[in-house]
Amino acid sequence: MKKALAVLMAAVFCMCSMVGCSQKKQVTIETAEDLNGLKVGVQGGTTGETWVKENCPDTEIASFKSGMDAALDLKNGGVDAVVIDELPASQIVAQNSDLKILDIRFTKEEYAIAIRKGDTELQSAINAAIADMKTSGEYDKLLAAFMPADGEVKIPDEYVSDGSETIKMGTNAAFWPFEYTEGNQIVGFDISMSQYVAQHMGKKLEVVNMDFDALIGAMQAGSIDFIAAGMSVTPERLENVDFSDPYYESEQVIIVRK
Amino acid sequence: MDFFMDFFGSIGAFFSGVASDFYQTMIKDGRWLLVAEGLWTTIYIAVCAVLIGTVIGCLLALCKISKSRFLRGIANVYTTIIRGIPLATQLMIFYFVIFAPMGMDRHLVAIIGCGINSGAYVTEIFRAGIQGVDIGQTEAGRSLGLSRLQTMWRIVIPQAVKTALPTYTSEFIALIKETSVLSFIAVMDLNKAGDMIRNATYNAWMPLLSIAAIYLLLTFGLTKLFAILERRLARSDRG
Repeated sequence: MKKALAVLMAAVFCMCSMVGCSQKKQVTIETAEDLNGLKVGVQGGTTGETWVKENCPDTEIASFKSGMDAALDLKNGGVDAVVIDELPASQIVAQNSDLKILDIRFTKEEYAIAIRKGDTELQSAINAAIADMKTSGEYDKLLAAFMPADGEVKIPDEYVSDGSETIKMGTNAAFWPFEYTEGNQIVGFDISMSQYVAQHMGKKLEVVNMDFDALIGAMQAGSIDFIAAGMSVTPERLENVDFSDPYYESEQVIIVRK
Repeated sequence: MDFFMDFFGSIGAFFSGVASDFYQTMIKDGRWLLVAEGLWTTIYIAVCAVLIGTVIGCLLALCKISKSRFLRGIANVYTTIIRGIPLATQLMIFYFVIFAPMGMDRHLVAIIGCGINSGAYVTEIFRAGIQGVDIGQTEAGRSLGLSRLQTMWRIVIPQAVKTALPTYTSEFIALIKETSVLSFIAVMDLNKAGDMIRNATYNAWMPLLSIAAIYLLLTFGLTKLFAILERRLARSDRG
């Protein structure tokens, strides 16, 4: 019995390793439209997903919970390319030496804080805080802290507010360097910026971490007050939420296997 | 009179609002196609998985009641591990760690993953069914000169099937609902189809309620179907 089992397992193992060596195909992508016909991994609900759907209709899209899952699938050969925002992409590539970012740029977009439609009071408060942050130099300090030239992120001190009221900020902590986990803490550019905004408004900040594609629904349902999650301003989103002034300019990039 | 006019008027407005909302989110731009595709994925993965689960369940249930300690050990380890880990975690392990590096398609991984998971529960259901048959039946069969295998196949199993059937069918229904975690490995099942509509329209409640209604119809229909099957099997029972 044991012998038979050992033989069976050996056979399965051989078969699997044979399959494993043959599958990962090399793709050549020169323009973003070359994604057509390939298997492309994205994070669900992101502008990358929307872009691929609208511009490359023959693409087989695999929509994951996080960009990291999509990258893992790319490494494993499940997809041929991943479309994602440039900064998280640079982090993914830095951690996975077998992946690379292509030199193709095809979208420009701006990150902003999203608020409920018609909540002009909060919108102007956030805009005032962002403007104040830019003039006081805190904005540049945050940029230097989270996006340093040498790649060594130094997390700045928390902006503490002694207000009694809390304001809830929704995010998806899988988007380096805007929001990610360090130990058991959620940190990042958006988190520090939101702390600043909350302090500016005299309120305490509560960070609520959830799936990216659940954020807008959660805000509409009232369980969070605003979203700071590297969310780009798009016409579709503008029909359903309002945005603050943009605070960061970004692009989508394509990651492939080397 | 005015009151009634207002009352019915507002109800009418409510329903026409819901209808237009439904049209905007679920019908426009062919979004119902996404739902149809997702529903099909959910059904075929659940059906294939339950077939795999049944085969595994049959084999391991026999292992569990066998005399060999080795076989019993294997079956026990299997059910302990599989039942002790949530399906979502298992699926991610199967996909990202084990099967995807081998180049296996994620739909196949979903079928195998759900099948292996379901197999553990089916094992316990079948074991309970077999052990629920009175030991006197086996003794009677053996003393009539039937072999162990014959007793099992002709006397115990037919009775065990009848007792295990209700829990077995409810395991299938549970599996249909459990497949809603398939989006963890980017399989577009019914639940994910709802997510995608949510992402396209930013309307949360209409896709969610529609998907919920479809799941409910599916499970309710199957419950009724299996109830008919059970009644037919019960016809031969006395009393």
